[in-house]
Amino acid sequence: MGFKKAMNENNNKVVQGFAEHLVSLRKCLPELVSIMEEGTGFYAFVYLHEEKSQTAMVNITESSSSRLERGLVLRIVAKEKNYESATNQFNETHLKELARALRAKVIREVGDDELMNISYSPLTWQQIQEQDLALEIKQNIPKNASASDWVDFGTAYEQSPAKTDVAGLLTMSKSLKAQVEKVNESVRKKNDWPELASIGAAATQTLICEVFVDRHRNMSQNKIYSSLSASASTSTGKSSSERRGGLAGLEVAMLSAEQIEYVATQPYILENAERLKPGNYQIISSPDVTGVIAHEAFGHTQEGDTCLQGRSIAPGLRSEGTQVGNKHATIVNNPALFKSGDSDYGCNGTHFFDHEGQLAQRQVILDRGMLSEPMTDLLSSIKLKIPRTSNGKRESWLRPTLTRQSNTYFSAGDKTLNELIAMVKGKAYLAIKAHGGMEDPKGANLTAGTSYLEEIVDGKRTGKTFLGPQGGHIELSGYVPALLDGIIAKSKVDADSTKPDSGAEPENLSGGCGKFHKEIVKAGCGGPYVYWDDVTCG
Amino acid sequence: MPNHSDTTVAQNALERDAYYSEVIQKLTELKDQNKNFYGWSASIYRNRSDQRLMNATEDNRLEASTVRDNINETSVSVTLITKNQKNNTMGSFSLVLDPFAELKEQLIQAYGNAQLSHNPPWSLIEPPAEPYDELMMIDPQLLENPSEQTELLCEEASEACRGLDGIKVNYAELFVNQSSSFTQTSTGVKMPMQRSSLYFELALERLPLPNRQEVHNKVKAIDREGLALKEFIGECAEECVALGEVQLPQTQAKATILIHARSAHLIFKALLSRLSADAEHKKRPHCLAGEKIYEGELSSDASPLNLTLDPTIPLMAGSTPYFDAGYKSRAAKVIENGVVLEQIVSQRMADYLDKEVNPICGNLVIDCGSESKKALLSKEDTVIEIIAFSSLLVNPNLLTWSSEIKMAKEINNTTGEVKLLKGGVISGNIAQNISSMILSRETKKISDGYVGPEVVLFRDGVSIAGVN
Repeated sequence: MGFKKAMNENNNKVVQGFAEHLVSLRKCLPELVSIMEEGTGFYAFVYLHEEKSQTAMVNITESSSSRLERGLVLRIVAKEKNYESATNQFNETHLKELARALRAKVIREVGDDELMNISYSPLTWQQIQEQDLALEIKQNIPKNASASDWVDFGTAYEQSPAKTDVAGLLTMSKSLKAQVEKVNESVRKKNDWPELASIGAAATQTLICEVFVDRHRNMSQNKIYSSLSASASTSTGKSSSERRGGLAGLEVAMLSAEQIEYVATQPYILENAERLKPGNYQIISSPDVTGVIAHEAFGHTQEGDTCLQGRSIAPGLRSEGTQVGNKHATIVNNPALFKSGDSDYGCNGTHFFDHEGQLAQRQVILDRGMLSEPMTDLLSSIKLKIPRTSNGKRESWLRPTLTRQSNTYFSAGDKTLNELIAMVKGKAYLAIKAHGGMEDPKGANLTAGTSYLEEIVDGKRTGKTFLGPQGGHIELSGYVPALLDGIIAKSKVDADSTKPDSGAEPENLSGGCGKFHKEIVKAGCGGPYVYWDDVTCG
Repeated sequence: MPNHSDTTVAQNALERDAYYSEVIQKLTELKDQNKNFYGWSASIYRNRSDQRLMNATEDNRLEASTVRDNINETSVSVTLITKNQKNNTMGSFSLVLDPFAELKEQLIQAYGNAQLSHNPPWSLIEPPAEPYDELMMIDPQLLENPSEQTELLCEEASEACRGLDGIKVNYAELFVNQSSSFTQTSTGVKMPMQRSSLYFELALERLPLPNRQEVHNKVKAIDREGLALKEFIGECAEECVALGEVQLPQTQAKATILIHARSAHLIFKALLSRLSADAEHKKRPHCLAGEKIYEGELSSDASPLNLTLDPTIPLMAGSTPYFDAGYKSRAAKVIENGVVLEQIVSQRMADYLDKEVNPICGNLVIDCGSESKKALLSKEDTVIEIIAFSSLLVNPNLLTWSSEIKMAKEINNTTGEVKLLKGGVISGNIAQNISSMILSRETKKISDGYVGPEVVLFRDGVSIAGVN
């Protein structure tokens, strides 16, 4: 199956084009929109999602697989409600029947009196082009684009995904496993450590093609996500893992020597780790842990649908003008994150448009402790009468859209990591490797997990590592406004350099997010190292 | 009672699906033509769902803001298994077939991919001598008219919410799903399956506003009766009315806590990974028959942990006639008095570890204790009853768990004082928990796959970080 290609104007990378095998299906989508809107004031759109992935894994055994998910959603918005139907049977006659049936159902429900009420007026390409859009998006929109133009956005790559196959992914995985084994053998001999129970590696590439069609636009986004990971474990289950990847070709799926050494060594460190005494401590969070805190703090709390339902503390705090953090407390949600840290590619929370066709834009959701308007999906934007943001996302075509985060991160500060460590008077801990988290938008509490802590005393690392009080990971917790008011300092984007930052956004890592336990979507998060005054750790 | 002819019709339709039949035919041909093609399995899966996301009016009637009806999915997936005759290694490749691509090409490529993996050989599973058990796993009313049942459930929930006094309902969600599948293997194993699942969640808070607390609970079931919406909404309301002034818990290295059945289910389920021969083969933490699952010595007044896996209980999520790729599943007591009786062994692990296949799986059935919940709550000077964890995260490898406290009651049995707690971090070590736990005599059945004590008292291996 082929993909159209285009050159990226910024560099010499190639941009993933629209999948040729979906061309005939895409051609019939505008008619489905017309059928759903005909003779009504309804707003309708069609969303097509295709996700294909190939994975190879080597550990004690070897395996490989490929996955395909493809489906189409029909949506009518009427009387401030979403009505949807969805299928993965793409016969044109069947799709038209579904569109007619959905329209008939909505007409029955809203009644004749509401039939001609305008439920929502979508923007035209001309109106969209007046917005402040990222170059990676803007450059793909033709000047005089109209409803009949196919506008395609795509991930820039060096290694063509058309050349990716299971054999190549297996070779990458085997090679990485061998590298970890080699380093492990060397450190084992040097330290007289026992053999690890397992060492493994996995390589994966996912191609995502999404098409959005409404009365003014017919656009696609064609994303490539590539990653390589390694893991190791002792027989008692103390483990380590590292991953590298993002929205790019396989050229970015490569672990550094430092990462390989970490995987090969860290299980032994954890095997000998002490247990933390539960309590409140000063913490310096590493970028991935910082990201989880940003995501769980005023990330979930600033989701429009949660605000609309009366389930978030944020609207009340915002209307009162309450400051919920100090000058360091700035959190950004940015789906248009095409570069971060020293990576010139996005992570899996990055998109060109969301699942309701809203183009990606950067949004500051907490500005030096002051809350902005929330992120929205289409319905919460209509109901709350606030601007749409690019946060209408769904787990898959089988699930509904909700307001969801894309890439959430703290803004950078002005210190190096060493400077942050040197600021510690008495005892503090460096929190390494994010390990999940949970929001409480109503109570403004949060938990963010970290795999382990490294001790710092009087400005120096002691070399001691700590697991949780019961031998597992450690949960960091607290009342969000108090936590955010207790930020002492933040590192620069490049926390190892004494030179000023170049203006890049802080590093974000690919991850996933569930909303109140379910509806898992792709989401990135990150930020600088952050030095926190008082965090509950247990 | 369900109409078996309905389910049989649905399963026959899957087996006779034109595309699926073509897949079987092409797999058979490909296997005949290639000496390294050792075996295959092919599954067809059909799913239908309705979903409602609902907000409440001022009088707590539920109104849908998102209506998703008749969401339909059909897919066919295959696994190809190869055996390299020269070096006696085996490989496999699984894929979801793409109806947009040429079938034969996909299978040939999959065959090639399978040959790239090199593992020690294992045997394929032959059809069992006895027929599989017939299990009731679908709500017959849902099978007959899912849309009508969705509407009825919405009405039932709305009616139950409307009657709630002093409470504001913030959100409700209903998900009604039915799926059917059919799997066939190259050795002649045929495994039809039909299931329904219902999900309801409710978020509500106590009036007057504003509040910083809400109750947010969810319930899952196979059938409408199991969902027991009115009862569930009543329980949520009861919990909501009890909300009040909260405090952070005290930091303590050793706490006594009482957990409810849903949390106990999650925690005890982690033990199963220790019983799996797969863990032994992968050199992960595991227990062999005769080994104890707890740490240290059993306390003299501890309840013994007796755990049975039972795949035969009707309308329970853990029930299934099948184990691995074709064995008849069986029920068995796997832990007695905290000591492992049997390991769970798949065909591949049996071959790798030179063991007998042991096809045990199913719902967790845990023997209850002899004391009442009330007695457990007064067992120590201070007992913390965890009403809700924020997000209970259980690590089956390390047998540890942790969460923020979403809501708890601290009962001081000396002064009679009861405090509401919220926040802080609570963490536990399951192997230590078991050594002195006490199980209630009251039983709770959760259709997610648990039949056991309604509450469990943990006296060791629990710590809390809160205020000093």
